Amino acid sequence: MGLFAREQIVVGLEVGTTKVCVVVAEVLENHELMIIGSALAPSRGVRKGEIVEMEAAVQSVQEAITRAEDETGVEIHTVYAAVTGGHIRSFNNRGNVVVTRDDGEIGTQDINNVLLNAKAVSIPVDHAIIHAIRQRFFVDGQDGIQNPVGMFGTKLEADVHVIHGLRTRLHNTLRCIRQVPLEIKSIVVSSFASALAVLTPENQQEGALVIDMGGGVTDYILFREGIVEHSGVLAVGGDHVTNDIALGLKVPINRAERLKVEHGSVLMPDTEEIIRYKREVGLPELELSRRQLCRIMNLRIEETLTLIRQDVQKRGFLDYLGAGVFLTGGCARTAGIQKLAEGVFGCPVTLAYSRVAPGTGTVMESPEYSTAVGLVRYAVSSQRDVAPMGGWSTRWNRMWQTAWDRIRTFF
Amino acid sequence: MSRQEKARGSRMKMIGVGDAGGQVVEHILRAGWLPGVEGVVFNTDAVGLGRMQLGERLALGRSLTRGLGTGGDMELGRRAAVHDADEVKAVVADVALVFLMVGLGGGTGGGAGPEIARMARDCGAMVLGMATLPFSFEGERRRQQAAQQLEMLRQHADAVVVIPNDKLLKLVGDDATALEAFRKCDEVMAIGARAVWQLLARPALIHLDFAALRNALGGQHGEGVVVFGEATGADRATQAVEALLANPLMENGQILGRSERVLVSVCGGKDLTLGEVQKCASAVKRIAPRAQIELGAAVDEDYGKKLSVTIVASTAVPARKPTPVPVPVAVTTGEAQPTVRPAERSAAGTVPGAAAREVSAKSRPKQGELPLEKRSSGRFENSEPTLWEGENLDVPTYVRKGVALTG
Repeated sequence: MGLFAREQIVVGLEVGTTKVCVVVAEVLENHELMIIGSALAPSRGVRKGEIVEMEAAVQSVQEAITRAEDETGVEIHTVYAAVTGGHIRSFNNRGNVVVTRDDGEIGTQDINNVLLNAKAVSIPVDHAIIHAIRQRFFVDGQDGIQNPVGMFGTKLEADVHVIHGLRTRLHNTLRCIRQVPLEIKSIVVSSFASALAVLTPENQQEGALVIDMGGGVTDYILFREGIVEHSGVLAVGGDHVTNDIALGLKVPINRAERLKVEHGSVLMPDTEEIIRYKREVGLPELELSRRQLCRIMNLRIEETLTLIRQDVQKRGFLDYLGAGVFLTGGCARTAGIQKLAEGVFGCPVTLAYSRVAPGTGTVMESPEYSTAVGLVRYAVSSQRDVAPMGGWSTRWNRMWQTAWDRIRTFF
Repeated sequence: MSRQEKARGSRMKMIGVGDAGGQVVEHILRAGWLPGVEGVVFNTDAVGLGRMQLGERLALGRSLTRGLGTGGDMELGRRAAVHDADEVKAVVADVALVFLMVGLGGGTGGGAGPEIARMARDCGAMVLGMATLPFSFEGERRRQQAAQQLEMLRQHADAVVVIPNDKLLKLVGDDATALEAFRKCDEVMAIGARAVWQLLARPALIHLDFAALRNALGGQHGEGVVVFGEATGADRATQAVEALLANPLMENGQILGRSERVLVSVCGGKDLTLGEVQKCASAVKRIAPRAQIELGAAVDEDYGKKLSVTIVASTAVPARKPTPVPVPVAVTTGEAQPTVRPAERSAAGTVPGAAAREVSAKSRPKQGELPLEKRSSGRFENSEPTLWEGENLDVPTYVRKGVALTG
């Protein structure tokens, strides 16, 4: 593969609790994205979104990468990786600086300074900042400013949404990927990546909550007026549903998983149905109540969604979800979840698939791919900024021009 | 007249069953805390009964035990109660509210207690059970037996306040004698009974009806603590709450943080103001943000300038689906009825008297899945728990919410 080609390929890698997902995309001339292939491999050694068994996890990633390479004919060296886990926290912070130039015109240097200042927050010593996502600027107290360059003022303030996590846990994910071996271009929080995949810029403007319910964790992120207002991770996912079923109906885990997928729903059936299933030779057929199965699932999913609603409500954003709630991730496939979520949030709920540009196959339109697709979108938006000459000033200047910029992240 | 209507302003009795229960009743009678409430003590042990000095004392199942007690055999205790059902019914007849004090784990309190609760309910009384769970130093067998008995008591009583004795060890310190420790249990139970009694019997500033009370005392079947604080003087409301929080049982208020339901009973003299009540309640509310708080305030003329705050806090234990608990098919006095315990219900339908005795002696009480057991989180057992505001989300939702999985 030539040097030229490699620069145009971006790869998103999500090491999830149930599967490792790889999406390979080509960046076209006009910064459009063309997805040329994808691969899934069952994940081992990952629990609740975090790596608990390094060896097994490395193998899973290798397997997924190999499959992706076979499918696309591209050699994968560099990836954008998603991180998640119950240890990830977020908060909003404001930074401020005094404008440096004598005449009071705000320059790019001031922007850099104020963002640095906003990032300089006290987080626990064992935590590291993953993102500091820019929200909005204030010039001498005047708010709602998206791009203050060229404006006049004495005091410049900036709000950022800071996402941070336990350094050691993040490091585990990174080490696993590096052992494959792969180079990591950048890490992105899963919720943010998923949002990039499922939300249009209009959705982000109107206000939207993206909930990515995966196998081990549920990531969520809230956009309003094109700005990331809030995000979070709840270490509860599809595995918990399966586990509840296993304990509640007293069946083995793998049987519980099948019951969930084949018969499960989060809405209570009107009439009682009996599920019969055969067991190993010699054991009698087992009968289970579908009503019980659905009740267990209903309680768990409703609780999880309710916890997220409460978290969002506490911060006062529940009334700003103009575009509604977007459900994605493997759990979005659960029967009846859309109706249940509408009841919980009291606003329209969309089962969201990745918005993918030219070259997509139908396989992309499954909710499991959201995070990985989001990673390549993230890659495009960040590459677009770096590509021409890469200097800091040009980079910053270019940023103001596109819609993406409002949500660009800094490392 | 409904049972609840009867409960207001009419006859109340406290019944102590067994040694532990008897001690509590005696403690209350001696302190004169519950004027107008008659105390009755039932015991199978004539010697234990003889030690009591106050209240009505009645021997149970004398012909079965010859007054020698049950020796920890709950089946014998139960049969003793059934045997003397006439006497028991005479005691609970026309009584509106029964405080039933039992120490679980043994034969009389745990065996006869639930049976007496059932009879009292049959006679139309509301039954508020107050039960202690044995100290862990009393051994595993007693603990298991207590768990089984608690389940039965809950079937028959309208509400049960459960006080694990182990928690009380903090109150007395390591160097306390066993006697002091048991004395402390009596006192805590007595305080709890008084708090409830105050709310029901005294002119209420804020009235709490029995349904609310039952709710607070464990609709979900809680394990509880009862704590009491009192103060006089200008800032008595704040001071009473502080005294209450200083109680070692509160674990610096952490208990309240974990509690699902809290009953706050404020009692004062004629000069009790609503402001004071509100102060107490908001202090509790602040510490127990998650709890459902039932507030009651009563005026007791004997209080003078004092103000007391009592809280009964229960942490929820999942409700269990009603397990068939031994209910004798037909209770006829003079003849012991064989019953079937949950552990053996599959094995035996009705067993003739003598055989039942033998079976129950052989079968070890098996209560592996009682709510007192550690709650399993299945496959997440070995991973870091997902904690959200103090709740472990790895434990299935239906378990935490106490939803019974019935078909």
